[in-house]
Amino acid sequence: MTEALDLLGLNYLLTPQSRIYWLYLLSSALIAAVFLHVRPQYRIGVSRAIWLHPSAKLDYMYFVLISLIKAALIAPLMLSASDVALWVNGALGYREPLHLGHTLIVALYTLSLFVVSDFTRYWLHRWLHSVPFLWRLHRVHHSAEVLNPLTFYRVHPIENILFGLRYALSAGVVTGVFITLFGARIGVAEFLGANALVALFNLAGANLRHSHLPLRFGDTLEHWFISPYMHQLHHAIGTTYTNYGGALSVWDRLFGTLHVSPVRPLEFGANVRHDTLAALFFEPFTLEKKDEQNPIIA
Amino acid sequence: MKSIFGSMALLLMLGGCMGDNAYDGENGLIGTPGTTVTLEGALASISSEVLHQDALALRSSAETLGMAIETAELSALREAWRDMARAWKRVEALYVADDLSQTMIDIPANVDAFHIGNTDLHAKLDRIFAQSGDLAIALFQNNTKSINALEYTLFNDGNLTERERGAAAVMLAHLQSNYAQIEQFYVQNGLSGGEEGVGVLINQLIDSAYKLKEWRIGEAAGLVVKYKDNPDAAHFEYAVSQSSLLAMRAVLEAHQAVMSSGLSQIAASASAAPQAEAITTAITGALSMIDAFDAPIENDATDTRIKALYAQINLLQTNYTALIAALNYTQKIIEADGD
Repeated sequence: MTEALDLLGLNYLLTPQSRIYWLYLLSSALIAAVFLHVRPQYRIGVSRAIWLHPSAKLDYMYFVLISLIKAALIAPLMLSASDVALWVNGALGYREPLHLGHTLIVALYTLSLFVVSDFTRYWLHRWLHSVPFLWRLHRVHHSAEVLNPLTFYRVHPIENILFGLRYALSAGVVTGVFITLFGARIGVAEFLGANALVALFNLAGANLRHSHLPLRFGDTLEHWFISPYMHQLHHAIGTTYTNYGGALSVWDRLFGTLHVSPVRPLEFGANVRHDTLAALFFEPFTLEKKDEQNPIIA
Repeated sequence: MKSIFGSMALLLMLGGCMGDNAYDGENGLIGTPGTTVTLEGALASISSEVLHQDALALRSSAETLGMAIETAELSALREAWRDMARAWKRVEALYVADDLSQTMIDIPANVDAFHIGNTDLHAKLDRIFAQSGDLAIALFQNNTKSINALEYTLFNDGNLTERERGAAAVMLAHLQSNYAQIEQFYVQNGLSGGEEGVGVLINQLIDSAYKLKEWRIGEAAGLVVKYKDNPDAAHFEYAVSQSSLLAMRAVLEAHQAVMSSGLSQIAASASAAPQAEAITTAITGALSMIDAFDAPIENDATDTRIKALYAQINLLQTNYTALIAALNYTQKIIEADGD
């Protein structure tokens, strides 16, 4: 039964580590309801035209198929963060653990995992846009003409592997260093069964990043965090080469890719269309036309 | 809009905190409230069945030696010392009291002089035995009253002079005082605090495995950087009494006892049963290797089996580290997704 859920991707709804865990969807829905109450002019963003748009239907079908592929083919082959952690720990060698309070160790480890992971996510995401072949893979995600929470999973399998490697390396290195420094006294602060910071990020409307509701956090918070609207700007034609950040906008600010603007109408999509499942999987390997290049490198 | 968003986020956070899955700072390792009892129960079991029982056995072994110290034959004293050394190695291997209380930090150094300082303990003891002054004053330093000093006193030659017998009594009284403190401590204190308690225990096991590998095997066999290709049997822990294998066996048996008394159970409840099984297998393998020695290990520090034993203990240490990683980690499929 569990395996069947895994294969169909339905386990994502029940897994707190998943972006579309039911509670995160519920929190996003509540935030959306409040937002629409205050800004009713954006109700078009949750209309049937959006949910039943051909691009959205393609997202739904792709989600089931890519879930099956990830569970059956990708996950079993992925490098594990534990293996990386053991390698790092072995390379650093044994030393007697430092004596710090357990709560402080847990706080430092949880924060380090979150920040390092967000940092590597920024750079991989940026390279997915700036390296021509990687962009061909990544525009599978950007070719979505309408956005919905499942667009998050509209990612080419090779990109899944890259993100999985990124996670294994970043989390593995952090864990290896922390095991070397503190031994077995490390631990993750959990909330709802996930890394507390990741859970809070997801509860704070992460599913609205891929939506048509231009929710902003306000200038002060957007100095530090990527709001749903900032990610929508990243999906918008013309500003795709900005706001690569996951949760934190710090990296965009540091590396010159931050784009904050008042809410304006946005048009989503890439310089290529993917109308079928086959196109999503195989188009990246077809010959490229000149006008399909990423504007950032064209 | 900002205030609306802030209020909503706060409400959701508070709502989440009321759930059964709320993080309370201690139970992240296990995750579900039902197994938290098992975690505390397993730690209590390790504390009472292993830590306290080993401390009791150590105290008892010292009392046995104490009853014989004034009159018994040297051979009987030697046997009693070996029993006490075996008991001490078990206690030392699992010595978490220093992590639980600042007052217990100095005890191991009071008892055991192995790998502490650069003074030539044997020469110092020879000088004391050659003198005629008050032994209680002459043996004022902790290392001259350590279990290693007592070993030298009983095993340095085939005789036990009256002065050496008197010195042995002073040394034993010192050791008994420290053993009593350990035993009393474990009566009143034990591992607890969920994840924190497990962390303390595993850290001690890793430390013990590391020192067994590097100090008790690698240095004597010339397998570590410090003594690379320079094997010297005199560097074995109990080279004088040729009891080093006994000590190694005791350390591993202590590890085995912890695994069977609760740590394997803790690991299994946190989906780390394979890692616990690998640890148990590594311990069993190392014990078999020790049993395969049919002569004291001090007879030949270049024996190729020592290198294999070193590698086996290294595997044990790695397996403990793998257990830490497994207890703290699962691969999250969300992290394979983009954005």
